[in-house]
Amino acid sequence: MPKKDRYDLIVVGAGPGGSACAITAARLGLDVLLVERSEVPGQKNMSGAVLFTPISTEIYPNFMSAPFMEGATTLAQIAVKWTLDNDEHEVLVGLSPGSDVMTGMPVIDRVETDKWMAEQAVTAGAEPLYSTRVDNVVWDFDGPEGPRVVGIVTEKGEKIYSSAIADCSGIDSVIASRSGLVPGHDWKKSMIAAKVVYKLDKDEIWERFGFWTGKDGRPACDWGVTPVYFGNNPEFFSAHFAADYHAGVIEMTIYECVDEMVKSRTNIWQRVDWFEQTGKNFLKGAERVRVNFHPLNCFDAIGYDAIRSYLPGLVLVGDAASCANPVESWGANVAQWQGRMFAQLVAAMKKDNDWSKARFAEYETRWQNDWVGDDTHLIDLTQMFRNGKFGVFMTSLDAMVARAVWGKIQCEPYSKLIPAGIAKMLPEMVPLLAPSFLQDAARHGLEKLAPVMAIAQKIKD
Amino acid sequence: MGVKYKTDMLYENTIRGAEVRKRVNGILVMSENKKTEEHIKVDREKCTGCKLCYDLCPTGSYEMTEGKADWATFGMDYCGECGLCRYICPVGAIEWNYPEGGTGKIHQWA
Repeated sequence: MPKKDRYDLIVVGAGPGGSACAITAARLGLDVLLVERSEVPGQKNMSGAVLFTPISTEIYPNFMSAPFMEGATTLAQIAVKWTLDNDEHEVLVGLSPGSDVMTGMPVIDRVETDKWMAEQAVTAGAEPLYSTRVDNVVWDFDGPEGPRVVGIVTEKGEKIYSSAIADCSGIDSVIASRSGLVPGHDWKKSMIAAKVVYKLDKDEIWERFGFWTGKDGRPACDWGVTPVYFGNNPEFFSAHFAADYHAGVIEMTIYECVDEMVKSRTNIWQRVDWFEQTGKNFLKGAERVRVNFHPLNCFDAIGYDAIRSYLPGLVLVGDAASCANPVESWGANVAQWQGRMFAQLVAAMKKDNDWSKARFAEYETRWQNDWVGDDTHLIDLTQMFRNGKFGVFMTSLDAMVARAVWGKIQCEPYSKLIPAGIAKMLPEMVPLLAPSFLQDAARHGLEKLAPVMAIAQKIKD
Repeated sequence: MGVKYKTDMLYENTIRGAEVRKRVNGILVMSENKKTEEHIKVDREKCTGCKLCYDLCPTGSYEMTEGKADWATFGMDYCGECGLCRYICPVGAIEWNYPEGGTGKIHQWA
């Protein structure tokens, strides 16, 4: 039972987005209720393997001394290492982080971090309401600005009222669909992910994933040595390994389009079997300790501007607003930052006593003009994933890796691979990519892709 | 380059039902709070017996009884709450919800 019958802010879902929203609001003196479906935050979730230190410390002042940071592995940058069926040939293709926020990235397990983050929010004054499923929103149809969301309905039919609601309940959000913000879920644009967690001796993990000791004394990775691996994709699915030395675990995550699963009638366990085979060098002697399954947006459905993220009284944060990208593993950061942004906005709204529709619209403008929005316009592989059709991309990326290996461009960083490797596959990729490539290049004037742009322009002409 | 699986080969070897349940036993952790209501309901009148849910469910929550999809037998113990069955049912015979708060699958350190 909530302690009050009315709040300044109700946050639905105690994940990275929800807890960031709740702690920021509580610290700004708002009455905030944090609602979570599981008994303890962190019990029902999926991916999100990397946090950005700069933004996490801004949200949680004691982030660096959190228990899960002790001995945590940090990434200097994200690089992706392709493996070809356990072929010893390996090629690096970088997903280049393009923003200052993306530094000092610890590899985390959300079972630990979500729990800790929610605890911080509660300590700061947010009121927890766990073991509670939210089934719907409460509408007020008689306001001066028309219909407005004014509260939530729990599974017990109980109504809780609030001036503002942040839906941080993740992909396939019940509130987002029942409030009409997201029109019916399109299963052709859905993926199912399986995350399998393996336990392995820490020293073995160190050895196999090529860690080194960073400046801060923690195990670290840089270009060329990374815990993120993608296999090649014979049938439209993607997978990666992420190793966490601190926890002594390897996490393998597999994503597959529902559409493809239906066409091939393939159970995701077959993909697990296949990828375990692909990554057997990493998994030798490891034991499966845990598994979970989770829906995600398909790559071609990912786009931060795909849907509206606000209604009067209600905003969508993180995955609920489709701001998720499984390839990057950093959706949690996007959610955190959006959650914080909204809490700050709500504090300003309370101060001005202005809860108008225009103020809620400001949320969308704010995140679109921040790095969260900017992140969507980076020219890199993630952009390719976002803009293209999933299957085509998987095939194309496969071809790219195959060609790179074929051309004996081994273990070269991204910058060297571009002129040699990507140029080779441009004839296939350009029809698909040229419009967005050129558009974004013009927008950002990125010089590093100039050679590619020149070729793209030539082919397009 | 690489292995190219053939779709029909995959289907023949697909893992489903009991075989999947054997795999998730012990590693799919369920909350100690028991669910009291079936959060998934299959309309057996509508079900055409196409077996998609049975073939694809990642936790083996579906069985086929009398040619129709049956979730009730295993679903309460095995469902992983991923939502796949709802997406794929071609005739909309699956009524889906999240389980009650504080129940269902939990994700925790072993």
